[in-house]
Amino acid sequence: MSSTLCCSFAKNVTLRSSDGQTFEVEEAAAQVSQTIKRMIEDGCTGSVIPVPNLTGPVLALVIEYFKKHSPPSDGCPTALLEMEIKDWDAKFVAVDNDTLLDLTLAAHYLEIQGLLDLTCHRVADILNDNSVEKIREIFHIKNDFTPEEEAEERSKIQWAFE
Amino acid sequence: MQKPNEEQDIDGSRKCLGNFSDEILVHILSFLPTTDAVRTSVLSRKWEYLWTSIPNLDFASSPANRSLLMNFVERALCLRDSSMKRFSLSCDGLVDASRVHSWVTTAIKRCDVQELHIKLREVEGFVGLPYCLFTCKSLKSLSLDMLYVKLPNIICFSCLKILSIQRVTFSNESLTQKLFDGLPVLEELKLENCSWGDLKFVSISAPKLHSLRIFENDMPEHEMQEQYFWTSNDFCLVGIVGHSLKEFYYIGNMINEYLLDESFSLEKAEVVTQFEDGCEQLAFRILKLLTGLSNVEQLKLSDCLILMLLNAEGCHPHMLLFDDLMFNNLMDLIIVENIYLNYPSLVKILQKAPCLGTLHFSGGVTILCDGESIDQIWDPVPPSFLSHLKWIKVSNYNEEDEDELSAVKFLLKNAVVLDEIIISFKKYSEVNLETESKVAKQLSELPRGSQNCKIILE
Repeated sequence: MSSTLCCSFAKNVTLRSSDGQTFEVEEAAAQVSQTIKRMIEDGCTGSVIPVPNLTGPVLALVIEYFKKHSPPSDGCPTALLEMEIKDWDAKFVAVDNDTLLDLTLAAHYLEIQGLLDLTCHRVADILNDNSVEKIREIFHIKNDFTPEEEAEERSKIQWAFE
Repeated sequence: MQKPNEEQDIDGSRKCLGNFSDEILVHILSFLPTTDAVRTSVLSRKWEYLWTSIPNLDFASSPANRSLLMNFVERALCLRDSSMKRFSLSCDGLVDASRVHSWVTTAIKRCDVQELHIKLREVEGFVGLPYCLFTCKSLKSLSLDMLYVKLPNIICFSCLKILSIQRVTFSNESLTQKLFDGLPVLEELKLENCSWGDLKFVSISAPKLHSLRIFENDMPEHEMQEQYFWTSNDFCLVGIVGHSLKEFYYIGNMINEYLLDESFSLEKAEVVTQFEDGCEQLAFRILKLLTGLSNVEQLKLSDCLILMLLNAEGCHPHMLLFDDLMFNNLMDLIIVENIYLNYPSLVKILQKAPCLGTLHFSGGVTILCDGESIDQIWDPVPPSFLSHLKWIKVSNYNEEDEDELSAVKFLLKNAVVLDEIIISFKKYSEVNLETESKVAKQLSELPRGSQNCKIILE
């Protein structure tokens, strides 16, 4: 995978998605996920680790995130590196809305706090930038209020719409 | 956890945000300003009450929405059944004092609020904050921006780390003292545009305090007032015992006296006075404050302050204080605003900092050509210029001003161990290539005390 000395000694684990795709990833990188970390600690490394809530394409994305966020082998992250990661993160979540929601669920299931904050923040930005009607459309939210109920709800928080 | 074989069937609905768990949705809402989080309540039934669990509730009223908002704050606190991280309320217009009292009580008693920010510009009647606030155990950060705070007899903020008080006029000396004595773990204190009222003495001695910022905006209103602005007896002596103090900032005109004691671990300090014509009394107060900063490593002073110190020269007891002052740990000195190298008080401060490694004239530097010879004023040359001073930066450089060039020339000649001098143009964007190379040539031809010194233009 890599020619550097540290990586040739690094231990790998295999993750399997809901649709049966398998991915090999460094153990240290996969432990960015608290869920996977616990599974490794419980001795699941011998076999393949199933990740039943994620499809192949989503798991592939999450693994990209793992690789970028695995702890650096040579000590503390520098300010420059942190900035680069921040830029990378911003690009990473600039995806279509459905993929964004998939990543959010994946981050929650795999307990990746950094990714969860990142995706939730992105969803929040979209909520912030759009009208109520548009938000329902973007995120497929069914309006189950009657028109009267909705009008009443709006009147309760009239100040928030001013 | 869903089973893998359900994946296909539910795929369509999985991607609906409405099917997310409340936990994730509240997390999403926590990234929104309160107003926007509240607005999501009209999306669907599931969303109706989600916002009531967001960790922070920040409300700011404008005169237009005031009564609607006030009613909503009431409702928001009623619906709250969980603890709250932050509650902030900012009212620009008239609000009902008794309601503010009850909201703060709710935030403290029922929601274990950790951060409380109250800003009241105009209030109907007198706002008494609930006394439970002053013994609150959950509070970590408190900011009060109002004209008057009625203090209770018992004050102990056992967990408070950050306290910011703005525009408050303190009124009762012993209760005010209780406030500053009731801060066992306080780390940051900011006093902004507060008035000490009739108080004569206050001591700030929070044992863990590491950052203290004081801003005062009192100014003599007209020339007549200047006569007694600093000479009147109407001032408060504020004693600061800074065992843990690392940063100290003062911006104002020293209408009160601030004395620092035992600030052995001080790293950064900034003292900026803006008044150019103060009297001897002002100079004396500045000197006394500087004496308390003598352990500091990085110091920022204003040109006005240094100019004021000239006024100390005339008076014998003040001179003694100035003579005793030493900055043995000082490594970085920053001077804001354009300063004349001719000021004897500047030279004196430099002479008292033997280990000075960097010197930044952030508003520029000039020499006044007439008058006493600069070499006489700078005799002897400060010791750091001969041993420690490696880096000088002159910002705001005006290439058309001969006197500024003379100042740079003087610095280059006398700083004999200098590694680098950075000349930063006033408006770099307007400096064309031709000017830049002309200035570069001009500077490179100046005689240098340190042969290896690099000159950098930016």
